[in-house]
Amino acid sequence: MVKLNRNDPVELNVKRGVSSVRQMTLFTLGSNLMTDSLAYIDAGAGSMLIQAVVAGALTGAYFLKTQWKALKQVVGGFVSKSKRSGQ
Amino acid sequence: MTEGVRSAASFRDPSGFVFRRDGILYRQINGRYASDWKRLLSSGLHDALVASGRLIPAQIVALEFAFDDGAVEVIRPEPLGFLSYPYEWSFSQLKDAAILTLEVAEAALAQDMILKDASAYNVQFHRGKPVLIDTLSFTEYHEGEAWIAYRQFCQHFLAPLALMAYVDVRLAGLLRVYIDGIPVDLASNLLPGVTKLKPGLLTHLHLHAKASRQVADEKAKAPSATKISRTALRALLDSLKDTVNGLTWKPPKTDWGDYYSNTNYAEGAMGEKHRLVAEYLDAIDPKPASVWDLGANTGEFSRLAAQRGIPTVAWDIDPVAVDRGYQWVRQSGEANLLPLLQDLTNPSPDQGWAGAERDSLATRGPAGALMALALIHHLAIGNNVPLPQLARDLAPLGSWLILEFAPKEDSQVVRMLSTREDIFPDYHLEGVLTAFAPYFEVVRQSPIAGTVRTLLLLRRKN
Repeated sequence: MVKLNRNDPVELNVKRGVSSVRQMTLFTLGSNLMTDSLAYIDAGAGSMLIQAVVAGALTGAYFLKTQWKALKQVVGGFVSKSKRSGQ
Repeated sequence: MTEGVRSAASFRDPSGFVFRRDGILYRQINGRYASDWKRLLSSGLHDALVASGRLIPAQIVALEFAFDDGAVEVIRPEPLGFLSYPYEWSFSQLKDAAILTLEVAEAALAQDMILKDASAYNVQFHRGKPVLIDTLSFTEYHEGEAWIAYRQFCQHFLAPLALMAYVDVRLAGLLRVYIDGIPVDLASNLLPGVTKLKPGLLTHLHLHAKASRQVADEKAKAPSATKISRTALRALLDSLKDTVNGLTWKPPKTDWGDYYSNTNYAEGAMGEKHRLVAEYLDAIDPKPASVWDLGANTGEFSRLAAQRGIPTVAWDIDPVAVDRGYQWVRQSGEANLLPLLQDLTNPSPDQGWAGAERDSLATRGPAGALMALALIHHLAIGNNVPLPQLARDLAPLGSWLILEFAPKEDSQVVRMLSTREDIFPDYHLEGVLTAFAPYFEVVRQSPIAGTVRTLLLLRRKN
């Protein structure tokens, strides 16, 4: 990895530029998750950003969780139905 | 019809506001909220939430009751017994309010709506249970949009609950300072490192704080196609619910939480006190519209008032005692009792915008009757409040006062005075009667058998 020379103003500006672009992207990502419906509170760009990241990451696990619940319900219903008919 | 008076606490949301006319509380629904209001009703969401006890019932009234021309509808919400604030709630109360908010958000999403705010002030304890009082919190959900109230939820609920659970329950007092919830960066700084090992707290508080810091000063805005799917939004709500449910608080042993097991009252004497307090309550004529039990501990004696159908607030300084009181209310289903936190030496002030958004303890009074059982020795001796000031400042809070006096011979008072100089020459029954005489008249006075204490029933002088 090439290290930036902190004493070099050109290299320092490059680093600042990269950082600004990254922050701008983060902000843009956050601010565009909002709609202009009847929102009256400040959602916070950082909050929208982390929400998008977290929600995205959780989706798979949530999908499996709901499917598992649904499966348990079906199996549970089948078992209790079998028990009832067995009696 | 008299002129309406707008609530000083209802001004932030342009969708509508709350006002009073002829002593009745109304909520005006403004034109800009019309389509969401229609959707809320037509989807069945409103009725379903009301039926499940999650949303305050409201009745649509004639438009002539409107506050101004901006109204498309006016509703009259069911009156609340008492308005309380999150900084007066115990851990379990705040947790239940958080879960309610998330359940309502989930139910709304199923009907293509979403909560546009998640303020803890939108929740009140009504008939012993948390209920959403802001009927205008719902807005249409657009596929792909994120939850705009996510940050507010984290600040109003998750941050204080995490601080209470992992640092100290008394940090809930920060809610009194930060009226829009505890900032996530502050919560992240205060929480111990171990909370970073908890996925929910890591993401919703620590990374949330970091992300907020990172974009804090940026003003740029450009188009982006990033969306949050409905399933992802459900996953987010589910994760928040898991995180809140995972927060537990193990109450430490406190003087007050275990007061009745450590008290100097013999069983017989306790029974006698119960009998006398009940008798005094019954002697108040007409029956008081409300009772405030000051220094109520777990609400043992507040229950006597509540069981008589009187809306009763059991105030206490100890979070353990208040939480136990709330657990009892939850288990028993007692609808007339509301345990709340209050430091009487520094009571809730008028605060918020213009100092009027949140009412002080006194502004929310007066109560029909006050109870101050085994309280005044703590204020007079424990906190050096002179008896005349105590009488003067209690008088505006209630028309009647049931007062228990513990003299210096009482073992609790002996214990209090054992570590300090006795600078209270006027602290005796005669001194109490003299101090209260300018404001109250004595209606009844009874020694509590089996103790050295005296119970007084006082009526405020007009």
